[in-house]
Amino acid sequence: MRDTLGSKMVTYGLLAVFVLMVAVPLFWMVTTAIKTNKELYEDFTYVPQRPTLENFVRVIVREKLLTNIRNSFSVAMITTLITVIVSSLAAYSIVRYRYPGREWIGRLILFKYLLPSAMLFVPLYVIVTALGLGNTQQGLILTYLTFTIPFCTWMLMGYFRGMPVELEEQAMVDGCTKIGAMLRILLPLSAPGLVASAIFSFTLAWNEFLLALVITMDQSTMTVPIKLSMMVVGDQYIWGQLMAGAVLASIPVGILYFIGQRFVVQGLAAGAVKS
Amino acid sequence: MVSRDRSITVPLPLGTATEGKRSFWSRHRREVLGGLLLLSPALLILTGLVIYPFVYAIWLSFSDKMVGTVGHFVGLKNFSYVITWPQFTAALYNTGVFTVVAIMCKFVLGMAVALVLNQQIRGRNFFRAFLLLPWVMPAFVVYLVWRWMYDPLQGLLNYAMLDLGLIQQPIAFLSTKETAMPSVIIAHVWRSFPFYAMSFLAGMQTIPLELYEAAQVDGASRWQQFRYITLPSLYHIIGVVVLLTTIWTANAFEPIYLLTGGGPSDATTVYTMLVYVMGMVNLRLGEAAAVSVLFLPLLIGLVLVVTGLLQRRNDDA
Amino acid sequence: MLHQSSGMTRRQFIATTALTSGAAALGAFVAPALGQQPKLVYWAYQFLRASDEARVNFAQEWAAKNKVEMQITLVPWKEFMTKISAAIQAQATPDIVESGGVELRALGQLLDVTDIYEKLEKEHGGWLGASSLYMREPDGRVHHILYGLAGAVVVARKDLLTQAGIQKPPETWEELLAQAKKAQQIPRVYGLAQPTSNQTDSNVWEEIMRSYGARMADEQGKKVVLGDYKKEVWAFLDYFMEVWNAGVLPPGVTTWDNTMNNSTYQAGKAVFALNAITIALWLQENNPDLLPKTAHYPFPVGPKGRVWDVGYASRSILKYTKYPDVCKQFLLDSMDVKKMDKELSVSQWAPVLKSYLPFEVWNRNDYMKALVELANKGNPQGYPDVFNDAWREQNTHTTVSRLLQRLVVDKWDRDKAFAEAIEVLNKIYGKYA
Repeated sequence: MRDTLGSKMVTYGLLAVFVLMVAVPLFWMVTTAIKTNKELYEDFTYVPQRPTLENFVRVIVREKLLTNIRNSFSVAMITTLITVIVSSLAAYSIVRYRYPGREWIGRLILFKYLLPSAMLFVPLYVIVTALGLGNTQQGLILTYLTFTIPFCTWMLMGYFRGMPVELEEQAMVDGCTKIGAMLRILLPLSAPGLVASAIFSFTLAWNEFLLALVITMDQSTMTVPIKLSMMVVGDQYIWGQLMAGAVLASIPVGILYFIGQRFVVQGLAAGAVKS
Repeated sequence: MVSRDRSITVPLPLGTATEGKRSFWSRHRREVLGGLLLLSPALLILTGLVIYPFVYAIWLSFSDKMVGTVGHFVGLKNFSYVITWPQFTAALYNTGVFTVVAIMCKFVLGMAVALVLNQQIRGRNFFRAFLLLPWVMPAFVVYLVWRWMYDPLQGLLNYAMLDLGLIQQPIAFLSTKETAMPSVIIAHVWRSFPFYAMSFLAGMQTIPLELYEAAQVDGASRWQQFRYITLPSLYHIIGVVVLLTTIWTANAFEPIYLLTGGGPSDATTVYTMLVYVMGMVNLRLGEAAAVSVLFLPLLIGLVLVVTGLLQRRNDDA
Repeated sequence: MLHQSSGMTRRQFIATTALTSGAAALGAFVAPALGQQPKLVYWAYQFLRASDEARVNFAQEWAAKNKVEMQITLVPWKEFMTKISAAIQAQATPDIVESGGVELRALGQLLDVTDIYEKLEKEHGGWLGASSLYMREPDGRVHHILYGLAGAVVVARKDLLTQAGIQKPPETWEELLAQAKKAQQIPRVYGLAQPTSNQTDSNVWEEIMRSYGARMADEQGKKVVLGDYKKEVWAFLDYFMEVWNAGVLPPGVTTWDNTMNNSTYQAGKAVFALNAITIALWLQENNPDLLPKTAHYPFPVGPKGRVWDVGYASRSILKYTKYPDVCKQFLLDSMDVKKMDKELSVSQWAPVLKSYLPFEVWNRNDYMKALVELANKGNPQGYPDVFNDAWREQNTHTTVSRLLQRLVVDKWDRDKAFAEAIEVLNKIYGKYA
């Protein structure tokens, strides 16, 4: 596609605007994290004059945020793993098998999101605790699955539909079972879609707030968002430390997306377009 | 149209006897069983953890249950209480306005960003990841930063505008009736546009370049290319994204809770705030559930309107 | 569950049941000797680091000394009701909690601790001020034990006031306004950092309204009578509009949460703030320059008297606990004089027992002195209204602050806003009648 100079300028101009739009709040967050209390509350500065790492130190040492980061990581990783497995199986079932009700399930799966979490979380908590999983990572993971699985199943459904069936049929002719065909042919080919589901689930689990608030009780299970909100102690915000915690909380997912965004786009492309 | 939804059928090799094999595991049976088996983990999780709580919540709306008390059936008492609550109409209106305006903004911004990121620009991968960041950070963090920026006495926006001479007095963005909702929407759009951008970009990547080249040969302008090639190819994904995000946006809680708490007065009170206050602060679960149930028609209505509009565009196309 | 086909005769069944339950009872008796420790779950109140640490350390030491296994969780008030309601729903409740005493009592979730109350009263020379009013119910029973009183005081920039020629603390609300107007230096320093939003710090306005003589409901706390006090309410609204139009309230107060009055004063941007001691404690650690410039005064008086709502901190035991006596012992030991001496010197509570009055801490500075004033002169929340569920719900709803917002945000006229407030009160009180 030939681009005129004019259209190139428009493109880069818009790009600059968008980058600025995203960068300003992020810049503010990072600079707040490295400002001293004085610069935060009394002498306003646009750029920190005396940058300090004391907020980070406090948040890691006093608040022990690294423990919470570790908790968040393990919850998010396990949620992701289970989601990808369960969603792949479900999507494969809906797309490649025939049985009554399958069409309906496929269509209704997204309607789960009509049910607001503000309404569902108390019954959810009751169930989780009744299973003896209160204040455990497993309990939290169980509840997170309810919102990662519908979307990932839907996305993978579209993705699988776009894959030519002939490859699997060929494998079965060669003696593979249906499930074997899925494992050996379809899944490897669908890697971008799987990676997209994984990244999506990870982000959701990492950022979730309300359910973690109710289910986690102490430092051993608390995830990062809850820990950050607990740092708003009583009637005091400690902005410097909060933003330092926010920076630390955003780095893992940030890195994940930097590496994996290509897959997310690819996965959504092939998947969603064809569903 | 090629059928995209086929079960796998394998032609049997010649000579395989099929008659007389009265096996319990007929192919059809195996098909159904296999399919259901694969589906079962997802189905189990969703039934136990979605359908049951939903039914329970509906039961709650007809009961007078409070925390720690046994609920009794009270018919429509909660509904009549909630409908005549002063903030209820405000919540209806605000939820509608917030959802519609936010989605329009996200759509336009997301589309613009996707178009830009679809071009051949240097460092494209970096920019794609960078512009994704607002969606990737925890919402709690995002809204806190915005609140800090909007602050009239200590916030970045007011300081900057005062220094630039744009205003003489600080503006309380989140506390003035006229500016509260727009300010909340802006923060929310900043956080959520990457989802739109990502999805649209994904769709755009599948459009074959030949279409654009052919159009250029025919003398079509960029705008015409967008209107007649890009947009139509994206109809399906636009439909899905708008549908999903309509539901998600109408159910938004954190933006309002963290930025304005529903204020000033009831200028930004949306229905999730009502549910939260009645259920979690007042502990009156029946009332909270009644609010959620009453808003289901609104949500379904929004969904139907959106899918209807898209269906019509699709037919016209 | 016994089936006929189990093969056991009835006599055999009764015999074995008796044997096993006897063994169980014996086991429970013998258990401590065999080293089986009671397990307690304790949700401590998280509000101020030093105070939190003091209580947690005490609990850990106590647990070790008494051979109890204790799981301690710090829970801020904001999240407490959410967590406890979910826990009650799931039948997985903690044993001891340090929040929501009155709320949980109303929900019938607490263990009777009248014996502890009376023991403490005897051993410590009596309860102070509003404490007993918070604990004793009409039928004489007690379900939660106060360990501290808290409340807002007037936090003031003495230096700015002196600069403006003001020498003595404001005695009435009108005087407070006048002093705020005189001493403020807009736009750097505003006169009065008082939220007027949907968050509960805004309920100071309700206290001021009550000091003008209005009340929400009748003596029994059942029927809404605010409509009968139109004259008093109008006098109060006149005062509010004076405050609003004087520009002493900083921009943004209509969406301030409960942290903003603190942070505004702490940043040196307000002359007066009406807040608990937490501001001074923050200043101590983070901005010691501002501390000597800060004075603490008791709440001013309104035309019809002084209304100074006092909050409480209490410990209570969930009725589902398996170890009621161990829990009661913990409650008792937590009130020990030496322990409280240490704890009160780093917390923000006013004393509740007469035996705490001789502590060093009260003479340390004027904010501690103000706390003793609070203990002696304060009234239970809601006074003269009854502190019941209905009152608390309308208070959480910030009815009065919303009335004020209707006037200045939505520009409604007074009658319309007043009518809406009465309608809301009727709806709320109607639920609990």
